[in-house]
Amino acid sequence: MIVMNSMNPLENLISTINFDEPERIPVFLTFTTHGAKELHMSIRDYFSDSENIAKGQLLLQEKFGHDCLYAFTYAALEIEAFGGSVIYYDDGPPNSGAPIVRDFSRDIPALQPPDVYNSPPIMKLLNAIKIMKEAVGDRLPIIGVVMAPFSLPVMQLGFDKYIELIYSNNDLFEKLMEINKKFCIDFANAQIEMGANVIVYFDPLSNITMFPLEMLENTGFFIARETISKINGIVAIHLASGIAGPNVDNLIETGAKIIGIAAGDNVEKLMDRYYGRISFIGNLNGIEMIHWTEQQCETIVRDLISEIGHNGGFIISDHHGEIPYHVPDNILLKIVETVKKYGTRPN
Amino acid sequence: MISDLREVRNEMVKSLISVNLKAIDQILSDIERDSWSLEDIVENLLAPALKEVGILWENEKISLSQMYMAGKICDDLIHFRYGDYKPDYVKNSGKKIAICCLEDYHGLGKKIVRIVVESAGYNLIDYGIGIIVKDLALKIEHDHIDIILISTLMLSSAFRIRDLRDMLDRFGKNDVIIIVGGAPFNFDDKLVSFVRADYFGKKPSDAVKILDNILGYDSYE
Repeated sequence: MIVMNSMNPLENLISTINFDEPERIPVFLTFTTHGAKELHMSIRDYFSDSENIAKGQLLLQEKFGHDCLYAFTYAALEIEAFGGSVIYYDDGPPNSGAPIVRDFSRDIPALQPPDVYNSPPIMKLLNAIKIMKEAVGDRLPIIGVVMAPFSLPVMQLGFDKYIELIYSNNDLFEKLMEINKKFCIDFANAQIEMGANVIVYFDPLSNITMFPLEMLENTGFFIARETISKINGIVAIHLASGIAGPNVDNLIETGAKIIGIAAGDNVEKLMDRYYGRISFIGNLNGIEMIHWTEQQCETIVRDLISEIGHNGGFIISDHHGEIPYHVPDNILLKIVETVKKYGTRPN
Repeated sequence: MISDLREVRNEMVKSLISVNLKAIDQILSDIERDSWSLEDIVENLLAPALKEVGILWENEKISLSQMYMAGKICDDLIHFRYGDYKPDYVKNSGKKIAICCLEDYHGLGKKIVRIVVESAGYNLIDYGIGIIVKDLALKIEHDHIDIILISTLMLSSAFRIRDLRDMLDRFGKNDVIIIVGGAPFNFDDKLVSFVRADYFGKKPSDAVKILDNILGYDSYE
């Protein structure tokens, strides 16, 4: 069910990020594992097939009435493409297995960026996007996701070893970034080719809580600028529930049109300071949602709407980029219902 | 000696947070030449310097990577350059304390907590990363662990702690104290009781304070 008075959700999204009188605040439910519940199958089986992934997204959109299809399966998909392993759970997203880089000087020079059109896990996702696009055309935005070159090594090396690499061996770090940048750009553009309208660039490490600013200016922020400039579409940069506030000026410089913000960010201050320059997406706490009552949910969402206003520049969503498996349906329905009730632009 | 110590400590903190290995080596070479004892170097210089770095991080004055590198450098120094130093670990009070990252390969948090807790004088048995619930429960039973510190990054891993508790109950080990930490717990204060953990540490120093509290020591400041 896609119902708006004059704009469809894709048109409404474009108006929102252009600050051009959107009809309503968009609401994105970033479903991943919920598709498995909808199709009554295990998460492993669900993610094994493009048809399942696409069907799950379409059924979820029909059921909840939110404003997007989310073409994201799990972050470790990119590690699979590099030849790594994935651990499946019954009630949560798959996780990356043991790091694929154990010995920096041996393994990094030997790494090759996967050929996206010849990588089975990547093709699985690309075909899912193609099926989604055939179903919805230009009525509903399809949101693709890539891991930033600067953040992907958390899974490739392990976070601790990656930090050690950055501080100890600039040559190997640069080599790794070249490999990851090529893959990221190819993967992002392939998703756009297949029909994605927005690419979310997940970059939790490009945050001054993770590295000093002077370091990020030469690494995370710099790499984001270089990479995003080569992605042929609208990009949202997302810190995966990391506080965005102190980083916003640098994140705007990356060329992204949208910034993901966390539950701990001050929406009113951000909108006040940056309205017209950048749009935001967030910032509902997906983990807390698990035990919200419907009344709490409505209050939280209404409060958020009052901070956002009705003049565009904000997409309501969770703050991590993934709705946890355990969030109950009634809460998700309430989120959308509340946005539709109070988030529509007054005439 | 005291004013020297304070000055040397300040220099060490500055060098740790800028990850200046050359400056750190110079400081240590100078004090070794001045015949500082192993105990002075480890307990009066490195441990307090690391504690100071931890405070800077917890007050958001430095980044996570700086905290991690400072911890790793100190840990390596204590285990290698000053490997002859053998702490008494009297703080354990006879209790066996273990640490792990449950069903997850994201071990950074666990590593930082281990370094901070050990530098505060505790001995930890490290069960590593990626350990599954059944194996952890068996290890706890076999090793007679009294307190287990568990780090998780993923929500699904956090839920497994409840399974661990259930399994420990079935083994008759319902007096094992479970201390948890990690991202999921930072976003939901109800999760700790839901998974039947006993304590939650938001920061590495919280783990020290909790252990001090359990074992009857004065508060870690």
